[in-house]
Amino acid sequence: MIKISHLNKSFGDHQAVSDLSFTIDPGEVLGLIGQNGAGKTTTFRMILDFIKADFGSITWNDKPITDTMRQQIGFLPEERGLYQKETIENQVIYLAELHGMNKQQARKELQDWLNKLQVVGKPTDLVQTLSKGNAQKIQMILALIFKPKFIILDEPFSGLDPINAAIFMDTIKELKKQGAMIIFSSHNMDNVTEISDHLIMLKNGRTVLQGEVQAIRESFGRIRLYVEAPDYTPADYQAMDGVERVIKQGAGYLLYLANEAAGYKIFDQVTQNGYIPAFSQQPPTLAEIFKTEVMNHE
Amino acid sequence: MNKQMSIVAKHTYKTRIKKKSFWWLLLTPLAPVLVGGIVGLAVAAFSSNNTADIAVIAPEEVRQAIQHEEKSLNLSVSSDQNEDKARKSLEKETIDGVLIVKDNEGTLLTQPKSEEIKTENLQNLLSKITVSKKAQKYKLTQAQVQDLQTPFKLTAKVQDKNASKDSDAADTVKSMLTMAVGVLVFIIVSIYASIIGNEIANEKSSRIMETLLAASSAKAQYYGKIVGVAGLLLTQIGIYAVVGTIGTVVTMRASWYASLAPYLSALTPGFWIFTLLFVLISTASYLVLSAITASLVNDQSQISQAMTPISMLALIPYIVAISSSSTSGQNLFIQALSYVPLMGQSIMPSQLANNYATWWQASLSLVLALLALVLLLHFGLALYKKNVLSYSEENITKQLLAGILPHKKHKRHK
Repeated sequence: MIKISHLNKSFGDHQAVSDLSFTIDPGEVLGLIGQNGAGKTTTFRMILDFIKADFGSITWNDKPITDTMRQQIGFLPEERGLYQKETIENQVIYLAELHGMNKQQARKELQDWLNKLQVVGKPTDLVQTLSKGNAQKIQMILALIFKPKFIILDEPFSGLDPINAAIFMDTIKELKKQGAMIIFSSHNMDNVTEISDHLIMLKNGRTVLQGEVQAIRESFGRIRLYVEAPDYTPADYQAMDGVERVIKQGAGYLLYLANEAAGYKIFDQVTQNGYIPAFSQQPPTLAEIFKTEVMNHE
Repeated sequence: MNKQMSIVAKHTYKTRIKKKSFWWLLLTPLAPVLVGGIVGLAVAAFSSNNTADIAVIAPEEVRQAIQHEEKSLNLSVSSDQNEDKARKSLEKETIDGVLIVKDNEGTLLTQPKSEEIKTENLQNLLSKITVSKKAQKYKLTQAQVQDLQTPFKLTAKVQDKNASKDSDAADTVKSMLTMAVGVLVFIIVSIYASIIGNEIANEKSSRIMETLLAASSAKAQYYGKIVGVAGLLLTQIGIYAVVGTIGTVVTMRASWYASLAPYLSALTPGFWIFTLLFVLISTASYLVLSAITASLVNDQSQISQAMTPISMLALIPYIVAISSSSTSGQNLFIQALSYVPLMGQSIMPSQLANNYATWWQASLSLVLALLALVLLLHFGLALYKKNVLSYSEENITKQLLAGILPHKKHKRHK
């Protein structure tokens, strides 16, 4: 288990991370969200000992992380970087050896990973010939080829098209199933919602939200209502009790409610003539919560 | 060396040694030597036999004595014993000379295209034959003849307060050597400082440094790169040593080597080993300095800016070495500088070769350079660790000073 306790870091007068605490158990995924400069990368850098924390502790199975243990952390940095003039194979083998793998094993695993992540290219291709997406996949392979038990992924989906993002998501889910402890940061809330067990939202280094993803969403109440009722106009919805905002969405309307209970009355009203195609009352999305929280803490 | 360090060293070494640029770098200084050697061998192989053919028109015992000494005189005595025929052969250039000996006098006739005939050696032999004949005439004993033929013994000693045993010629070679070592060290330092600088700058600018440091440690990266680049230097020196040894062996067989040998008396194996050690230690020190400054760059475009202070520093001993080859190496400033780490490598070998410094003084200079290297490695690691993940917009010199002076904090990118 990874345990972070009361972590603090400041650069001069700027408080980058303030009193951050969390745990990650085997087979668990923790999503770290926040605006740029919220303290996500600084947190990762402290775990990897690139920078020292001013205060607080970082342990792995209740022991401080040693250099040997750190060698077993898989890390995908936010700023991608590869040796452009080297072949995929040389590069991957070099990094895998540094992580303690032997050459033959790394060569074999590389081929499996190239297939799994659907990389367009051969092991003997130079990195500079790869597309951005494929180079990113190579970077992901560097982080995962040695089967790490603890994985840190800084913005793994940035720059990827939906197909490749889905491949990365599937990979993360598989690693989770295999018992890896995963922490990742992302600006894509849909991805965070889909793969995270727990979530931490940082704002200027401070923790503004923390907990299980669904519980966080539920804590804001089911105030988001999607309705498809053919006889109702936006003005009809706006006139209903408890409706704060009406937005046209696809074949229906998205209503933002003042409280969860308002949904019951609206349901009775729109179904008084019988069947309607859609009525879905949900908690706010993570993206909506993110926006709200960011604005609340401005 | 731990495993990760050796992996980094191997990677650095292998990556560079596979590049054509490294081999060009290595072969460029060898090219003139190789071309010269090939041309020399070709000239030697295709040149005519330089033994002079001469006809000897002389009493039989003289003729036989000359024939007996053919090898030492570098001559071949022709069968021609008729003076007119011999003169005609000389005109036709079929022989190189005609030696006519009558009583106590002799004449050597040659033609413009004749092979060289060493008249001094020939004259010595003829004098000996004449003395022997006269000894017989005056009925001298064998001991008296021997005594007559014993040359006057003259011992030449050069009085030199630096106890130099070398000739002017050897001193000239040493002076040239002073300059050559200075130039060579400057070139080596510049090349390898640039290689390690580019390695680190490339990793920083391509942002692969975080990936590398997550897999290993700053210490493994820092020492591994220095060892890898030092390995390249050793490869280059090793190849030069092999080529040099082959060249020396081939040269020693050449007839002109004997005349060259006195000039090379200063280049003893001890001198070469000392110079090599000094160059290795000093180049390693410059590698450390380059690693530190390269760790401050943000991208490749800043590498020349980062390398400028290193080049300037290496230029000082280079200029001193050049100037000390034309002025006296006993200048106090030059002598003091020969003990200063990062400076001594270009100066002390020539001080030693010119007997301006003793082996003890040279060893002290070497030990000081080694101590400086150990200290640089230690403090360099701290600076490398501090800078390698920092991307600052500040001037590199300012960053370097901020790193050395702990009370001054520099801005971090993140």
